[in-house]
Amino acid sequence: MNFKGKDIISLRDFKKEEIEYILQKASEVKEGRHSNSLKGKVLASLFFEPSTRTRLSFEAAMTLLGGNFFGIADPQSSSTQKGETLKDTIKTISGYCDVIAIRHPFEGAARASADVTEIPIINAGDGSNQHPTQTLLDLYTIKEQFGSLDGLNIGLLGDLKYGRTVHSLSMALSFYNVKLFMISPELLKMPIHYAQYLENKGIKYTETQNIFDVGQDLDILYVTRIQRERFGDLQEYEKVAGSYKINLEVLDKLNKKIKIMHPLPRVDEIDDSVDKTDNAIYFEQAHNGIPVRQAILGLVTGAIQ
Amino acid sequence: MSDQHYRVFKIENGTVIDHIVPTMALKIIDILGIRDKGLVSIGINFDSGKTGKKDIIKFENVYLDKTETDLIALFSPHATINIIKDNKVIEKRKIEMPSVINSIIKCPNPTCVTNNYRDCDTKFIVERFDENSTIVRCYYCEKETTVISELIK
Ligand SMILES: [Zn+2]
Repeated sequence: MNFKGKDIISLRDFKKEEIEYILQKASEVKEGRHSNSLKGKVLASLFFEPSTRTRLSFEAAMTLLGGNFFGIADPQSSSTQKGETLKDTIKTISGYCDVIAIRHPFEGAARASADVTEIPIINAGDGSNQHPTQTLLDLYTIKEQFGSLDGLNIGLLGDLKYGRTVHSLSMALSFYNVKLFMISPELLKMPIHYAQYLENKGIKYTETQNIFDVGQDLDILYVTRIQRERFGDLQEYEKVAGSYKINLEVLDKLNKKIKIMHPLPRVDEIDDSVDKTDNAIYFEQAHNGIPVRQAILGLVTGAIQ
Repeated sequence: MSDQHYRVFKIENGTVIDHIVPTMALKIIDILGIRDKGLVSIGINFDSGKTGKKDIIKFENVYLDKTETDLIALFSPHATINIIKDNKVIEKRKIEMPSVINSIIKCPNPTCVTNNYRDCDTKFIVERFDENSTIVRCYYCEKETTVISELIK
């Protein structure tokens, strides 16, 4: 499979075989193969909005395989503040690097960037739209834990309306034989067009407001944050958010073998006391960002075949 | 031929768009533009046996191509296109919904890149359509939207 020069912008663009191929390369990288394969390659990491974790993960991924990076981390310092257009910025920077990772507050910025350069573009998050490397590391983590994605019961908990991570993850999971359980307050239900997308793909899903309705059936619980800004009334927020927090007491009522995932950073939706249980895999999940991004950087630059 | 046809200027050469959903003619002119080669006559709310009322547009000396006339599908999928040369209809053309629509629609998402950089023009993928509505997906922000006339630039 040839990924050289390919952009990684949206899960929408992927075939199942391509996802599988990336996951396979990521496990090869994690096993220690492909070392130094990015030697001589340069990443431009263009973060037009701050996201320290994602940026460091890309930069570490590049460095650990022997590559170099330069970038902008502070949107205030970038020339776009002086009115340069996005496309001109991308065209200019394309002359200095082999691959670009872009994070941008506007949806579609990565796609628009890809329109004007032959250099592969990796979307590191475009507004509320897509964050494909997060989704791929989520899939990788599930596969690593369970050996396969097929046959799993996966709960998505929290803000399913605005949560980019769960939209993108559920689209990717639709390639597999999984059952999805959408657990959210009524106000933050999965938007109808995503639900339709899943239905069209033949994915079975259940919606509920109460985690305990389905908690015994779940292999995985993917937790996301419920943001206060989504509620007009602070009391309403406190009431709702409280019932979507995972602590030891809640965990005790779920499937004993359940694995808890979270895209991080968290605020208080998972209590620290959960961290040391065997159920918590969210730090492993975050660490898997490195081999997954290494595999992607290697594939799109042609350094890994 | 009834008198009615002469209420809109008769053309010897050019393009006639007939059976347009009433009052959509101005929207169609908006997207097709007025060419500088000849008269453009627009009839609105004509009586029509078929639909009750209809609009009609005639472009004199202008031959619209299929990619242009297919854009009319957004407003009036049952309109008919006749290409006239030397007073004869040389082509009767049906409108087909295009699979991609460039430029003419605005994205309703305020934080879409196309609404924030002047050099990012819009592009929409037609997801599905029926008699009553057309659902498109922004190629950039990926949000789906129903095409309504307010979104036409
Ligand atoms: Zn858009």
